[in-house]
Amino acid sequence: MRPRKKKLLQRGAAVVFAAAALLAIFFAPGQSGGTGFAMGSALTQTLWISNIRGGTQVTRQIAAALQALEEQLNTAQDPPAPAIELMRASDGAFNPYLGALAALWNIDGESPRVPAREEVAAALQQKQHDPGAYGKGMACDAALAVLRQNKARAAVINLGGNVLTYGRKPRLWAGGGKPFIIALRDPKGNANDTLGVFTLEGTNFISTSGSYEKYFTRGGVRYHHIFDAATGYPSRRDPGLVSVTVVTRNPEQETAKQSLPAGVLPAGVAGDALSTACFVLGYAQSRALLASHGADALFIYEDGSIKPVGQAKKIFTLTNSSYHWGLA
Amino acid sequence: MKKGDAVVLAAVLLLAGALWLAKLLPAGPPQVVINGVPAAQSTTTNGVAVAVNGQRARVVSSPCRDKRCVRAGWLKAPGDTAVCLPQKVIVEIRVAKKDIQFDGTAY
Repeated sequence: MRPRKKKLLQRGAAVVFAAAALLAIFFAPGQSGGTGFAMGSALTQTLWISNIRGGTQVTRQIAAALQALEEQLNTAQDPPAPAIELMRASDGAFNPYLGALAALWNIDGESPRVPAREEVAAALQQKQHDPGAYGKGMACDAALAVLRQNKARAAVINLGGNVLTYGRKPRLWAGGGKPFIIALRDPKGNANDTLGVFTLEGTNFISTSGSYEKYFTRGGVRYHHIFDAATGYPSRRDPGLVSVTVVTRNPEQETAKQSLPAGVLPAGVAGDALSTACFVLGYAQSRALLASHGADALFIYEDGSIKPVGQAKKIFTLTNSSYHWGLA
Repeated sequence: MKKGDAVVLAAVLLLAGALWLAKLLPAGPPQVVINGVPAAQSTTTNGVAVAVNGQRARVVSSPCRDKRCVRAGWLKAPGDTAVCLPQKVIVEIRVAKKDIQFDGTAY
């Protein structure tokens, strides 16, 4: 080969290499994140997305979408269709019309009290819309829509302990190609104590309802914040139940435009409402409801026993030795 | 080979070496794990008595017939394992991964 030609070839190779490197940097899945507040809770976003699309912009877009939804839900007279559907499916165990009741008990407020029966009855009569028991889940559905529109590769959205996972972590990145590992906090422990870990792939939503978060004690009785619409008092159908964690999932979807199959509720709103419904219904009465929504669940009891529903034992590894699997 | 080539080659080798080393480094203190659950103190699982002494452990007694698990003696180094198949107990010394990287915490 003549030296001149060789030099040209070398230069060509260098240009191709540089171009490839630039392309790689632009299209490489970058990891970006952000924290903020939405729906009265802390919002943490972790995104795996190609640099050219700009993760920061997407996290801002998600925060804006959640804010818009919050305003919409807070001013609405009635909840959106999926919430109504879940109220019907759960026989009213999930009830988005307990706003006046929650205000009456004022459990997460300054001066909680045990109201008189007449007051409770009147509050139930008011049927005041309260998005508290489904809003965070619905917000995660909204975040998911933004993620899909922007073709994010993977994401973990944590809205006040409600966790949405999406996609698959890109191979060439930290923890690439591996499933999502989501820890579940010990409902009876401190913020750093974990009960175990979920190993999940694809679009999943984890939601927990528990009596340990917000409560007050009067005359030796613990009054928690999840009300039974049948009585207007804190639910106690399944004695000793501390919390219920529900895992819902969306079926695989090829494109951002493809919508969920008819009759399938989005994982977020479904999971959020189901965790409340299951906490009210208790283990035995929840199983059919969970199965009909393809959901898994963990029922955690005061005595440290955990009853799994569905595939829960397959996706959850118990790591806390003060708990044990109960029957089933 | 030109000087530039040598520099690039050296840089690549260094990077590869560093990545490899980072993987090899132990990420945390060794831990006694019984049936997948970390154990900080002596305990009995499925009738198998396990003595835990800090980061070491041994099977003290077992109702099983062959007593292989007892004969395994003290488990000291990461990877050491005592298995009792009849009683379905596995005792092992594991190195905890660097504060297991969670993608998030649900509550």
